[in-house]
Amino acid sequence: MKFEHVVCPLCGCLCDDLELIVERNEVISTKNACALSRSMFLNLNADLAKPLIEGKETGIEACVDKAIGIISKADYPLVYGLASTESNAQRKAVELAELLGGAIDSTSSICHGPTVLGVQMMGEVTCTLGTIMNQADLVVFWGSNPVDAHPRHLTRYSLTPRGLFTPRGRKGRRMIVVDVRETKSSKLADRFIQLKPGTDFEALSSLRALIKGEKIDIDPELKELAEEMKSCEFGALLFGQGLTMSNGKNMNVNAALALVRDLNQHTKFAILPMRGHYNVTGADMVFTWQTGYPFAIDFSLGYPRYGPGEFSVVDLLSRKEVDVALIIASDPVSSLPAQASSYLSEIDTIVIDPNRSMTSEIARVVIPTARAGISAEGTAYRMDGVPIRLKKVLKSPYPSDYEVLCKIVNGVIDGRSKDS
Amino acid sequence: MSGPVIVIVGFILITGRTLRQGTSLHLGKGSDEYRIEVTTVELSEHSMKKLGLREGDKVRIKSAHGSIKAICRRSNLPSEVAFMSCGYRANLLIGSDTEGTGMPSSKGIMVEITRETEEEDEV
Repeated sequence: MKFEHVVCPLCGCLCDDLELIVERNEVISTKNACALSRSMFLNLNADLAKPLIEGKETGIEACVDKAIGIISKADYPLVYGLASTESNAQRKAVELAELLGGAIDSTSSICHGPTVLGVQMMGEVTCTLGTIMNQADLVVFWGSNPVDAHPRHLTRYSLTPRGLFTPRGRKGRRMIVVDVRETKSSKLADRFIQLKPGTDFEALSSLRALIKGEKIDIDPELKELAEEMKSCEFGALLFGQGLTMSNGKNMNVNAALALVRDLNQHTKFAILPMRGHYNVTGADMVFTWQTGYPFAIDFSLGYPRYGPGEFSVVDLLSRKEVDVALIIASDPVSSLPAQASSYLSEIDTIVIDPNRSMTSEIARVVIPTARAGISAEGTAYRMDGVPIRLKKVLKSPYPSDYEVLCKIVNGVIDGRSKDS
Repeated sequence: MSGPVIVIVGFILITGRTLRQGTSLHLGKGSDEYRIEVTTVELSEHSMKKLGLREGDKVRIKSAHGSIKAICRRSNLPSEVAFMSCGYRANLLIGSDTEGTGMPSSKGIMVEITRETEEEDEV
């Protein structure tokens, strides 16, 4: 069976033009998929999770009941992950965290959390990827390597496509890469500016000064970059974790946001973060419309409080402040600093995930689910904030993340009714 | 390879995504492809020569937060920079202080790199 216009639930590009051939409930070939996406679709069954309690295989209902029992007795549980699931599940996870008086955080805190902090301080001049495709004659990738992390970004949105005001495609568009190391992306660029590690803030601030007309003694390449940015018709600064994970973090992002704001006194310029997981933007959106805050949220006082550095996953785990962790569609044992993730094996950890992971290996309860965007429908937000409906193309013997979370929420409420 | 063990202190370790890490991830994090990719450190030709390394040799990387073994690969990097694919191995070198942001410092970690001499241990 052929499925057309399938949305790829992998990275923040959410490419929606994939074609899949499915036979006997398996994807046997893909069209328009990048290397990352193709590997995902063709290996969907490579490492599937099984329903487990204390490492022993059992039924999924027993796992859900066990999870309800554990989580209902928690003093201060953490609900974490959620960047690789759809937005209904994210909404239900917020409801659960509030019901439990726990904390909730998404993987946003370890990818573009500093971007959110920067935007809250500075505001942002933004646009959609469609606007970049149709209008941008200059794209600057700063601390970002799209060839490895977002392989179709350049061909679908930012470099080669022909748009309404960019009829010449690549020939009419300049690409600049600013990074601390040469990458596959920098090799494609018209200009590559190599910074010393940890000097992004200085470089961005120097560009601001140059754009304001200050005379400063600086690398001639930065002077040329400033002129190029001022003189383009429509520019886009697309930044990655080179800014958010390096020394300075949110202050680096502040400097980039301010640079783009200043550039708009001379031309049109927009800025966008290159978000990683396919619905990490959705997690920010859903958390914000549900609680007022995008990540690192605490409900222990009965109302939402915002605290990056206090209620964010790395901080809560490294300070050993939670007694139960519910991990949804994420693998913190693999992706967090070991000083923080090692605590997950000391407490009751429950994992809801379609796949086996390093976290499921140490979890007390593992609840396998239907993978969102492949075996369950839902909505995800592209890196530019555009919501896109995900399709179901394969059947799964397991319920969706949303259905499992509904059962857990109902189970906690029922348990409390019986107790009272 | 015999000879004196040379230690280079003051390397700046950058972690990041690679295409190989992203594709092998879907084979399972226990797969050889994934394990090898997240256990590989990229160094400049100059640094490899200074440390007496050939591609595929094992090195010990130490930070203020941990110590790991890795396999080295040549790359076009500045001599003071080392690069590792993000994953569980690099995360042993990263501290948990988020400086009030929630974000650990996953890029720009000061590390010491030495040629590993204990051949019997598997990386």
